[in-house]
Amino acid sequence: MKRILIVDDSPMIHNLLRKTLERNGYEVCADATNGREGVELFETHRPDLVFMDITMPVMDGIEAVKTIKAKYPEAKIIMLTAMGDDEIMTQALEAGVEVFLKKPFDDYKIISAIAKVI
Amino acid sequence: MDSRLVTPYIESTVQIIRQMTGIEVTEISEPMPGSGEILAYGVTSVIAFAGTIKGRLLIDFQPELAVHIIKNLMGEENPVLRDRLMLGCIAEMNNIIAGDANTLLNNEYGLGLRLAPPMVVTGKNMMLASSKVDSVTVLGRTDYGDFKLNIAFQGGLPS
Repeated sequence: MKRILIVDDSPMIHNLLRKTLERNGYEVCADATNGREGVELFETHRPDLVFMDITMPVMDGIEAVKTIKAKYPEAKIIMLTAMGDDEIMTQALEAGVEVFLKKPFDDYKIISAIAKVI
Repeated sequence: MDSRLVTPYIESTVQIIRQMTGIEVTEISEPMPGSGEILAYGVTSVIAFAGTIKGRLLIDFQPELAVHIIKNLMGEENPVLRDRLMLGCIAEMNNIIAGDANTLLNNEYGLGLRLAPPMVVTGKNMMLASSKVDSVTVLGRTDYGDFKLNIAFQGGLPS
């Protein structure tokens, strides 16, 4: 079973995304609420995939992606965020994310994105 | 206030409420100039944003509507409004609505708007006041209760 790390500061997103992933056969191996915690949990769990928000306290998602990718270039990361303008999307893609998704989401959006990555 | 700054928030609110909760907005008023004071319905979320101009979006729900939104979002049969996770749902929905509208404004007018973390307060008949800011209020209705939006900006679109 593929293992997924969720990094988002919203408990609602953790709850909804976990339900979506679990009913589609994925395991959520860890939950982080900011970028720094996301980097630490990535190193501990080495998940198959990360869902990463952008706007978070302590360390934002773009910085967290850069940190993870610098050490683990093979890491697979999907950005899932409320803002999706051209500038922020470019920043995310340059940081190394595989797919950029804008909230809100449904099963189809999530599962299609995962299929492109792993 | 410039309608180009207001319309995206109204459209995003209607669309995101429908998309996330399945609740239809059945009536929506024309934007009315804000007086600087808002008498809250009961569950109020505020999110600020800043770029080349500054602004904020306030969404205020009647408690019955907030309960239905949470119920439909989370599948909770009897959500408790003061529960942290439940209030977090209202904050996150405001975050997603503001993010959607700001995305459009940024791509269209290059405003570079970035969101601050949202906050939620509860309490019927609270008076919310803000001065020195240009705002409009929009009233909305659903089968489960009413809501209001208050959209405020300091500064306008570049000419």
